[in-house]
Amino acid sequence: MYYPTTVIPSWVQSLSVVIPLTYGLRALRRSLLEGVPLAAVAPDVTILLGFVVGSLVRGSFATSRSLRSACRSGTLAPY
Amino acid sequence: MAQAPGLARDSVSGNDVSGMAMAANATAALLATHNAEEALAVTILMNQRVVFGVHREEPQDGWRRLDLDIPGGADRAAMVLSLGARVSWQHSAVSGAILFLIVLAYLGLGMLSAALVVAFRTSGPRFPAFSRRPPCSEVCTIRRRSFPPGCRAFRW
Repeated sequence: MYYPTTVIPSWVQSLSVVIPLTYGLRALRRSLLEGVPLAAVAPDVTILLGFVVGSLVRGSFATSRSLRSACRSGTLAPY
Repeated sequence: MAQAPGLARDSVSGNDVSGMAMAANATAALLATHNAEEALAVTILMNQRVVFGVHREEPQDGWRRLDLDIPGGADRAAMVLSLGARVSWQHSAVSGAILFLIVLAYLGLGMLSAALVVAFRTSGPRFPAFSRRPPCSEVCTIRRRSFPPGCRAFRW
């Protein structure tokens, strides 16, 4: 389960807050190793859920937009 | 006397601290995969939290230095086992859901990255035939792979 972010340098800790794996692994660690119920890991799961919704919405929107733009300009044909 | 592989000794007391040694070895092996050139040492807090870092010459307050032989075969999974943690499998459903959310999050990030790749690869004058945006009359709504005369772009 790797290691908690508290053991890494502080500047890396500030980077880890924008990585969804941080919240997922923390919730997994607490759930599997400490045996806490779902309510105890709810904050991390909520943040992870926000990452999921945000990345899926932005990803699908960006993909459809870039594909539409490439199809419209005709530059997708070589690929 | 040569130190046995996988054995760790406390630099202060000289005692074998094998309870923490496996954790330290796993951490060091993990670190060694990224910094193979670096002289490795693993420092462990007194409360048994594992911290890795550069070699410390002097034991500091609340710290003890462990001199290690790095085992070659230690893998990352050993980290969990060596920390002495016991997995509580009754929460495996919750853990599976969390794992699924992690996968979904990275799926969305992958879609975002793919969109960026498509946007950058399909923009700019890469090929002479696609060096300019064709007028609407030249864009053909066809389902063919070959270009008809006068057609510079497809529209599916």
